[in-house]
Amino acid sequence: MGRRNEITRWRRKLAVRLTQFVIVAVLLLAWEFSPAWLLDDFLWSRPSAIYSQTLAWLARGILVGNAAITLECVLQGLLFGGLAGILLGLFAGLRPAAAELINRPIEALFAVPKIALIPLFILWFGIGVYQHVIFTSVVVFFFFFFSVYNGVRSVPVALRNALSMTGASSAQAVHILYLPASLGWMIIALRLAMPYAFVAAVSTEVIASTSGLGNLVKNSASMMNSAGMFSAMFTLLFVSMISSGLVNVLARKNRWNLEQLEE
Amino acid sequence: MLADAPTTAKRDRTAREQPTLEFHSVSRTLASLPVLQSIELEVECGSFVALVGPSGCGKTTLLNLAAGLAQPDEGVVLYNGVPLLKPNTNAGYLTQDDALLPWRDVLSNIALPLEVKKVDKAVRTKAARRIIQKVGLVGFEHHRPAQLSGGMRKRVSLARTLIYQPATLLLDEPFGALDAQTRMLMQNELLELTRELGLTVLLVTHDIGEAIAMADRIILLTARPARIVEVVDVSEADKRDIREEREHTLFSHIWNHLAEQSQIRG
Amino acid sequence: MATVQTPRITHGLKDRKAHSTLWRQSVVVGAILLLWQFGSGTVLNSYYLSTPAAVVRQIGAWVADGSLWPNLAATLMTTAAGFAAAAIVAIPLALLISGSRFLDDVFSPFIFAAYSMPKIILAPALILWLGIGRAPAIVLSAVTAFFLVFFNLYLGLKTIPGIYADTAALMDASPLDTAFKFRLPAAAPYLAVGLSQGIIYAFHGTVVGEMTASNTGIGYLIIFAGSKMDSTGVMAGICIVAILAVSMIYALARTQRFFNSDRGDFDVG
Repeated sequence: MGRRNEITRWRRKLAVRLTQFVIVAVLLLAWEFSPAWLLDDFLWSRPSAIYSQTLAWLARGILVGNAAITLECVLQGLLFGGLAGILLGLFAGLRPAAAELINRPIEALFAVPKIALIPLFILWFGIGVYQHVIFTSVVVFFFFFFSVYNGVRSVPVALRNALSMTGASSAQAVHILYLPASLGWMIIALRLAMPYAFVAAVSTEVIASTSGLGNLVKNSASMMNSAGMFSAMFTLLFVSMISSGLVNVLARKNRWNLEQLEE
Repeated sequence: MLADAPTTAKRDRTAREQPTLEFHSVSRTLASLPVLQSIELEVECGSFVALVGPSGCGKTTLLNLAAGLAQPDEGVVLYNGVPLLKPNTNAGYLTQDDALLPWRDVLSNIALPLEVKKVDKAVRTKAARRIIQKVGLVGFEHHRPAQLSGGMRKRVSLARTLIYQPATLLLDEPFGALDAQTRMLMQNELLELTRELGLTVLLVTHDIGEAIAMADRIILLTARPARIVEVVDVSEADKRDIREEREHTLFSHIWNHLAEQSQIRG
Repeated sequence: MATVQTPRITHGLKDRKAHSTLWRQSVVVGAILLLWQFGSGTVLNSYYLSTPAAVVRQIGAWVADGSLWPNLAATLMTTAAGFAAAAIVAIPLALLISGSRFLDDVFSPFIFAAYSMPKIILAPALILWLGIGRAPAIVLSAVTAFFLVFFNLYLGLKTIPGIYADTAALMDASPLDTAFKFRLPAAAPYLAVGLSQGIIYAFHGTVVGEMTASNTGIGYLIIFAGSKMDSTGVMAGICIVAILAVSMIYALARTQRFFNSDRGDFDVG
């Protein structure tokens, strides 16, 4: 009986994969061979053209180079925004009086579409990489702040009391209790922040910059190079999916930490 | 069997010993509602005192004040004659929740208080192992709390409070979450340990049998706002009756008091 | 780090405590505004932040010369249009895909993949296809909002117990009836969340679209001021966006609370 279920499951998976493959194939073929009056070559390009453009760019290192620039911005943004969020989250979590003052403004700022701030950041920091990283950090900050703040607040009262009774200083408490307790929350923040960090980095690149995948898309479009535009877009999709996937794998490996805290 | 109980817990101090814990006219209000009212309390050195009252009457608040985790709004709490202004590191505090760090093993959980005091690692590991032997957890040093039963986790908590050799133990319904058999086992072990180490103990419980079996004195609290309404000395006869589960008057006296107070609370 | 048990507090007392916090926070906001006003120009070059007074004046000027209202209207209408389009597509799609295991397995990977693409990257393409104007902004708004409405409803439909679909089957209901009369009402709370988030993200998408591919709207005003290095204009635009965003969230929270109080306990079995 189990064997039969196994076969059915395997067959269902095959059917699903086959259908997906067919869908993608049909779309690609339709795209490639549709008549000019339906899909203007100039505006929409063809898969074949996109393919050759991609190869050409790969050979010249343009795709990899720009992808690296975008990735670097994302990683630096995660690093600095993460650090700032963790530090401030710890501070607010440990000092409820301070939290009352700063939480509302931070929540309000979070509600504003951050992209509206880009022109302001450009005024302050110019259009270089410096500005990209700062903007990405600001976007990332919020995720880590809220996660760590909640992580600290959700430490059970009994644990907090037990640690007080040992006479631990604030620094010791952070090191022994709050940081390990917040680890699970920080990983959640990383998972959430990753796609947003990407969006932030790409947004600055599109609006004003001279490098990166976002900029590549914009430039190609403005030069009417639709094949290049799609090439860059697909590269971006690919890179974004890989990095999100990696973070998810990392998160799953650490799930035990969060579950243990549910005791 | 029932001693003449004054309505305050003050006793004639013939011995020159300083009471370990004293509450003088202590009141505590939380969120504009009075929780404790004019509590007068003395716990003698080496004695085992139980606090019994209906649920939610403020027993835990009282214990928190005794631990120094909170400050009274009125009155003063003295520990060994000195006002208690911050968490009392000479007291061990055991609650119903285990309060163990889930990401550390048994050994490092127990050694935690010494780690905070920056004791050398070798020294504290040795101390931890000694305590582990005392509470009967040998072989489980490197287990994580999640891998232990409720009773064993309770022993780890106990070991952690004992490792820095406190003079006083504050217990907040510590065995509430355990099954009946484990509970009885732990009660006996705890009693032996406290006698052996000469600890002063303040136990909060709603289990009357537990209070009678373990304590020298039982303090009865009213419903919120809690006042001390009666103090009872527990005699050996009372304890024997509990052990042998005989019908007797101390148990029903306290039972009736609780029932009355629970009704008042509504 | 005093931690004690808190007895239940009555409603009136909670209000009083909230008021004192509100007062304290207003003081903080007031302090920030004062710092902004007097710090900028003296400690900090007014180029960076402008001043609250100048920002208010700018907004007043915009109202006076009639440039605020058309742009504001454009932003709001784009948001509404994008949201409507997103909802119209997302709701049936969510019902369809979550209803069939096979369709779910086949199509969810595509939808998840599309979701992980930064929507702003569509902007250059949209300019190429639709030209600069309101249309790209509406499309961006719709695409951004779509995923939120879709995912919330989709996950909600997958979470509700099978009893709803089973009951429909027992009554021999048509697929359309099953979807709209049984499953959708059962997933109503999830739909509500999806729609609220959808509106907010439609607004975000609108701003993105206006900043990259449009020539009207508040987003465009910000970019335009930015290109002139006009920090006052930029700050004024940001303030308007902030006010819109916060009001939207506040209004939605109020509406949700209103509906939730009527609902009572939503017992899903």
